[in-house]
Amino acid sequence: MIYQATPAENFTPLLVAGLMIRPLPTAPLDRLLSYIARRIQDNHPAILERLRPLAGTRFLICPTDLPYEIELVLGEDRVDCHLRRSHQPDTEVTAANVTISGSFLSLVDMMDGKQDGDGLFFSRSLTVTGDTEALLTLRNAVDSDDIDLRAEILARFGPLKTPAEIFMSAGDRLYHRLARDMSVISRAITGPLSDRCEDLEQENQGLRDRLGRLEQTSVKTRNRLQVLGRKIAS
Amino acid sequence: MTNRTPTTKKLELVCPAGTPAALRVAVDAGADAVYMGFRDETNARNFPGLNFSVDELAEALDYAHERGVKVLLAVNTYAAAGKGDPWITAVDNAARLKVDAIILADVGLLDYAHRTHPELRLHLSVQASASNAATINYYAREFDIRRVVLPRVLTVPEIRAINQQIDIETEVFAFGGMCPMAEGRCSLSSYITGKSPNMNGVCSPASAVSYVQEGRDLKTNLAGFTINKFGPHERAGYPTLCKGRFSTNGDPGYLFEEPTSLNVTNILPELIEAGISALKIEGRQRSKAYVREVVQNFRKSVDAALSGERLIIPMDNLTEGGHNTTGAYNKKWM
Amino acid sequence: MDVMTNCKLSFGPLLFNWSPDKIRDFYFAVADEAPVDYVYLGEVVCAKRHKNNGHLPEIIERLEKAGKRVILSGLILILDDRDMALMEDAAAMAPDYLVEANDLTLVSRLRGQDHAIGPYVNIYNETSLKYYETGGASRISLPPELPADSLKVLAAAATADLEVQVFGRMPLAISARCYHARAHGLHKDGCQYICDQDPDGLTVNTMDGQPFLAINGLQTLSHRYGNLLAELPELAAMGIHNFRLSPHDVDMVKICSIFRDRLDGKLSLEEANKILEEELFALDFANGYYHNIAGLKQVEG
Repeated sequence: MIYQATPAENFTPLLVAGLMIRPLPTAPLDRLLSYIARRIQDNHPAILERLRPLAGTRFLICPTDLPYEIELVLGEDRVDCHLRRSHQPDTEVTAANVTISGSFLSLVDMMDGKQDGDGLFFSRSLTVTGDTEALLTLRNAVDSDDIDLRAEILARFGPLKTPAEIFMSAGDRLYHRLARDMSVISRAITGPLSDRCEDLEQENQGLRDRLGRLEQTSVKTRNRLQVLGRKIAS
Repeated sequence: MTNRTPTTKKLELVCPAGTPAALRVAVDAGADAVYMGFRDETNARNFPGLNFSVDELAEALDYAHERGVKVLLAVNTYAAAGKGDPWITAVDNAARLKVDAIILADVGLLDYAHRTHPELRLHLSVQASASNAATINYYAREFDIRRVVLPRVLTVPEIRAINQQIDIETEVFAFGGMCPMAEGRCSLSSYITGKSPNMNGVCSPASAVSYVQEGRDLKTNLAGFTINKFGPHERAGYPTLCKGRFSTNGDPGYLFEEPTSLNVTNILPELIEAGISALKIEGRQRSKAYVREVVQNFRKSVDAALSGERLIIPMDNLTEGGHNTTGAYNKKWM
Repeated sequence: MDVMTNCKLSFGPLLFNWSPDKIRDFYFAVADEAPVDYVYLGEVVCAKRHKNNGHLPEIIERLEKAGKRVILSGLILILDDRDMALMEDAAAMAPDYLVEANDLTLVSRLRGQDHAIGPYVNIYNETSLKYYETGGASRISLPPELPADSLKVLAAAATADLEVQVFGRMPLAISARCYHARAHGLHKDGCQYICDQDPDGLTVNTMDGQPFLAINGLQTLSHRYGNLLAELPELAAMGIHNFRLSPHDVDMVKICSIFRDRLDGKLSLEEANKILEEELFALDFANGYYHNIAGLKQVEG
């Protein structure tokens, strides 16, 4: 299980952002989201218990800097999570009870328990419309246990053999893709919100720093995974 | 996991735990005590998705006690007439699970707890609004309360004078949300929304709140009334009635209180000198991230103050409106 | 027509900053003309306003001569030495008058003697009711936010006389901060007694211009006037027989007569409400708290 710890470090929100910013297939990410939802459902019963009063509630999570939205639907004993392209005119969309909008990183950091949602709201980094009580319940429920998004995502890559390969190839592709996507991310962030330039400049720098660190560790990981892959093959 | 020895502490840092995860964060970040409530109307943060089941409280006690941290249970609403069972059960459970203290406001419950569970340590909640030495001494005499959480209407000199006239401990609010009204004596919320802190454990509840984006302005609506409007760059606050903008004769303004949060890091030496025993951080409704940051910062600030230094930490990223205040501790506030 | 027997009316303590002469004239008229049984006197909101009570001895004398029972009310919030001194003054009257405690400081001073407890003391359930009764409270005016269900339980458990406010702006909050001073850009210590400009409180409007609350120095009141005319028979049936009218700068003698006539069955609810609404045509009423909904709401019929 040596591969688990190190790649976890690599699985930053930015990587996911990189995946999401790609204009094309939503299917793999959609499956990943469904998987995360199921993991939370199975491994955090206390959260599910707290969410029970919300059965039937539909949340729409809109990362303002990405061309996707995440739809979260709560059932009696289950959580369904789906990805879709923003503002698709040709699809029938059931209206959400609650919409949360904010930068992708704010949303992930809040989910991860790294940033305070109220603080983000006070600073106007988050926008909320719809059923405020449902949102509060969701926030409190998610915050009531420790969810490690990275670990949950990594666990997706299951038994030892396939994951190494998946991860290796994914990591490789992602890394190359990211360099290109960075400019898309910057454009997405700075374009529509040019009046908040200063804040965003900082955020941008943060992203670049993260990318720099990612670049370093990704090379190491790739090497390690190649070694691991050879071991498994032999 | 270092055991913090209480003997070296002169000031107890009492930290909020809205959820089990927040409790672990508070303990790990340097709390001396944590406080929480059950997941029902028996406590004043009866917010959806928040608080503890009886089993979760038992686990919390294990986690905290193994690390030398105290657990205080807030049962700080007023029992409903003819429907007092949840409150009695909460007090009985607190005694059975051996919490380090229970925080009560209702005299009926104080009387019950004192008579039924004499070994249970009682703290008087801020919701009882005991605002002078005579009242505090009365509660101490009647119910053997061991600590009073002082209402946020007192200046530092008034707190010092109170401490000189009482024999029990005082706990004061150090950080977070701030009522401009005397706590436990306010029905503003129920006048508008039908739900009050005293009866329902909520103030301006989320179920009555809606946010309306008007162009780039954010409008806050409480039970159908516009209570605030924030411009595109303006930092917002909670949709609490008393922190809204209203007008009397002219332009709308913050008649009762601005969106702001209490922060006493700049007056900690004075508060310690005034003889307080404990500092309370508000925010059981806030996230783990808030608890981690505030508790870590207060740990530093308290330790600095105890060794004679003043360590001011603004934490504006977490405060309402991006502002902080020392509230009534400074007479100018009034 | 239904008659509610044994029902008494009271005037609660005056909440506003009226001049000494205006206070005297008001209570003299009450003594001479109002069909009221009990009159609560004394400053409850702000110790600084105590200066207005210069005519208190004459007022008490006039009321008692007219056969009204006088009860002396204590402050809601006791913080500094001035508040404490006023509280002690009230406590010192206890052997001669029924004194009403509105905070725990005065409750603790009066314990063991016959006394009254006002609506600012938190009594939400029968256990706390019992606790205060055991301490000597024989007359208890209940908090305005209690719904009918709670009132019924308390009335069934009570040995003390219970009272409910049935007319006037409802007290909602008390603060160390003076909102009148704040609204006028003044500090509490240099308030210039600015609250004397608003004999019924200063209207607070929302950003959309709806009247919402009323401020009265340290106190915040409802903008709407509580009116439980329609609920009187139900209250009487529960066993609550004391009804408080909170004084305002309107014809309180007339309002008192409307309630008296309604209790005596001389007016139907419709007639009583019609006269009240004609008298106070500019005001909005509310009875939401009683019906366990938002206090500002008005439930008809």
